[in-house]
Amino acid sequence: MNWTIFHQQVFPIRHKLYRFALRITGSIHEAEDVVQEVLEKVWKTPADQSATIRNWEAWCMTLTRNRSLDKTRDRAQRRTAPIGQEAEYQTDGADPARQIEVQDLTGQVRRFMEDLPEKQRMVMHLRDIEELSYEEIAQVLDISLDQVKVNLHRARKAIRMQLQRVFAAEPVQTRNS
Amino acid sequence: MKEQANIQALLDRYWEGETTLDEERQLKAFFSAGNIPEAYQAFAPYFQALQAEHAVQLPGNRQAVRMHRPLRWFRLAAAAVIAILLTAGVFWWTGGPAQQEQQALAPVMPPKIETPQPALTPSLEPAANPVAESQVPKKQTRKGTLRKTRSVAPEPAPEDTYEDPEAALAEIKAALALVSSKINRSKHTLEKGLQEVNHVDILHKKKKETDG
Repeated sequence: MNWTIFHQQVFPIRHKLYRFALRITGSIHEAEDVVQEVLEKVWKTPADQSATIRNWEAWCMTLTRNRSLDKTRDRAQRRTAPIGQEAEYQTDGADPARQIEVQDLTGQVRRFMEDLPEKQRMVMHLRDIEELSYEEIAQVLDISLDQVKVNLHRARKAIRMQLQRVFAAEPVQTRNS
Repeated sequence: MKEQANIQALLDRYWEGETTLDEERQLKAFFSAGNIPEAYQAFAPYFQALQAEHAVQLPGNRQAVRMHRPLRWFRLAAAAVIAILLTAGVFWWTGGPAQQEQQALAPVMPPKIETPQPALTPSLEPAANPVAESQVPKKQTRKGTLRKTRSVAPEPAPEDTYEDPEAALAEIKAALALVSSKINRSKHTLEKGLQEVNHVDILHKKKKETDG
């Protein structure tokens, strides 16, 4: 592994890898472990293999997806589930009141997203939070472009229904000031 | 009104999964700007939440990923070189095995311990002062124990004590100059060794970059 590439292209995307792992596993600790393992694996990549990699970010995201799914399946076999970790989410905001408000909103939206099927959840995360193109999403998830579009459409439709159902019944105080 | 119509069109396309990334960024900007019309307020938390989710970061205590592995070999090598040079320097400075052996034997050589006392206490003549005679040996024994540790000086013989202070000062200056020159020489050798290690480090990095 080239030291320069690692510093310039891999290490800076650690937060993105973490968010993706968090989206899949739903566990802060498992997501942290996934990022650590992925970075170590990338670092130990043999020179001949690393020479063939053109898009390090997509490759790291793929590794993160695979490792996160492994963790999720291991946990399913152990019949355990992460609990009570939403309050620990760490953002770069400085205003505590704003952070609480955002955490409340993100908590509701996050729950909607967590209820989505796995593939829809991953596609939606990569598009709406990480702003990847359809081609990049297809590459990371190893699916076709059509599958990306179909899953994104279904995910947004489900979220829209949830938003209309919940927020229409109980209007939420939004931050318009 | 025109902006609202535009937003409505964008939202419709968004929910259908037909918007571009730029259009989606426009929607996020609209819903985070404030003054959102009543009709769209139900979706505001969603778009705000997307942006908040994007700000989630890896917790600080896990950001210190082990990244210094490539330097490990060179650091170990540099540490080994420094340790060897320092050991050799100390060994050389203290005079090597011959002098160390002499130092080890020095404490068991009584004449060198006892002889300074008359010079330090010239008035305590054994025959003229029997009380002092009975006390002095005890003191000498205790002091002698301390002096044993000091007898490691290269020239411990008390007969060599200088009567002329200036001559003694000159001799001390000469001895310190010798020590200083040896320290400087060790330092120079150490710096040369470190330069070589740094040079090898740079070459290694360049080779890695060209290989990678």
